Amino acid sequence: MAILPFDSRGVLVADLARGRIDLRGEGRVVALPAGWLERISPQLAPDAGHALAEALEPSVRGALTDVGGASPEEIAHALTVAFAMHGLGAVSLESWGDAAVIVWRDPPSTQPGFRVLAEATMAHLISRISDVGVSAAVIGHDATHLRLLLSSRAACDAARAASNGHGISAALDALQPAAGPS
Amino acid sequence: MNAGRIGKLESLLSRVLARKDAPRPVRIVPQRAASAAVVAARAPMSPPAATAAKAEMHPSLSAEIPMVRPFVPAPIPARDARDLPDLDFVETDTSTGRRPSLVPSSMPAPSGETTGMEFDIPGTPATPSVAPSARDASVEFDVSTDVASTESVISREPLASALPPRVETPAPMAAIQPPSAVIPTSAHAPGSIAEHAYTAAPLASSEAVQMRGAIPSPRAATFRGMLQRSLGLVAKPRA
Repeated sequence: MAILPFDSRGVLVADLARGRIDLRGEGRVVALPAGWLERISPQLAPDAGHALAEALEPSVRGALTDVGGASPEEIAHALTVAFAMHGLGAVSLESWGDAAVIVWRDPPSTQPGFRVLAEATMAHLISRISDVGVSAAVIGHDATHLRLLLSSRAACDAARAASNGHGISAALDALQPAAGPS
Repeated sequence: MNAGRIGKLESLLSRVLARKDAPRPVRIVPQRAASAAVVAARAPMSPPAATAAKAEMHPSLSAEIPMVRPFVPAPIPARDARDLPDLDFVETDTSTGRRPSLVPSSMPAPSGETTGMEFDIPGTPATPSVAPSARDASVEFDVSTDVASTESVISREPLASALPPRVETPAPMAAIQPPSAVIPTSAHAPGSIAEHAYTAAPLASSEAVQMRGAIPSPRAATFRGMLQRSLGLVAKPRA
């Protein structure tokens, strides 16, 4: 088991008299409206996504003892710890055939503007914690979920284009294993 | 002096003392009652004494009699431990069986009166005058997962009111539990869910999606292995 116990006590300290919110192990944080993030995301991604991923990375690593050998469940837990601490939602993983899909539950937004930031953040974060360079593409979404394919850039581009308006089924149907039949 | 004369004298004095914009009615009362009123106005009394003095006052005198109130020391702001006086803790003298009282060495001996001295004991609220119920209200932080619903909440205090200097998350909080459920394909309706789901809770998928042409693959032992397989995917050539 590579998971470290997570003690949520004192994770967030709101010092309202001084107008400060502090996150344990990270220092000061700022609570901003999710709608604001949605509005500025298109202008800031992907750089903002990379910066957000690097801000989340210590929390992810802090939840695991062995990131390299972690199972998908353990990675899902560590990502959830990091995301939840920052008010960003929770995370689980799915595999559809060979396709690795990350499910982002209760993200700050699921609107198109935020999806760009979501892709940049998730790709950068997963690449850093796994040492496996991946891209991410939103291939499914509803009011409370984003589903992102984790794969190569070419595969992500193809899946994103195929899913446009057609959902995850069309996205996955547009992919095949490299050595598979055409 | 009878009542008629007293009335005339009161009227005369009222006119003498009156101003154009502020008439000043005058009442003549017995000397004893007047004395009681003067004493009451000058010196705070205990509640029983004040009640007795008021009973002796003339009905026309309605002055409030100040009463002695318990002394409540004002809350002292949170202090650093270095500000506290040194405490000499002396154990019981076994030869005499006496145990000296614990008195701060830098403080005078207690005189029996409230000194207002407060000690900040770590872990106790720095401002005990803030009612606990006033801490329940405004900022909430939910770090729940599907496995264990958890709440970390913080401060609940109107900004305009007296705020405690620092409010932390309360102790009774369930930790985020590691994901325990690994859901194989067979746990779901055929074709309705991903081949493997790695999640902290049973996946409640709203999508009924069929995988067409999916190649069965072994369950990933590690996250890296899962990613490596996914990286092997390529786009199908367009028809």
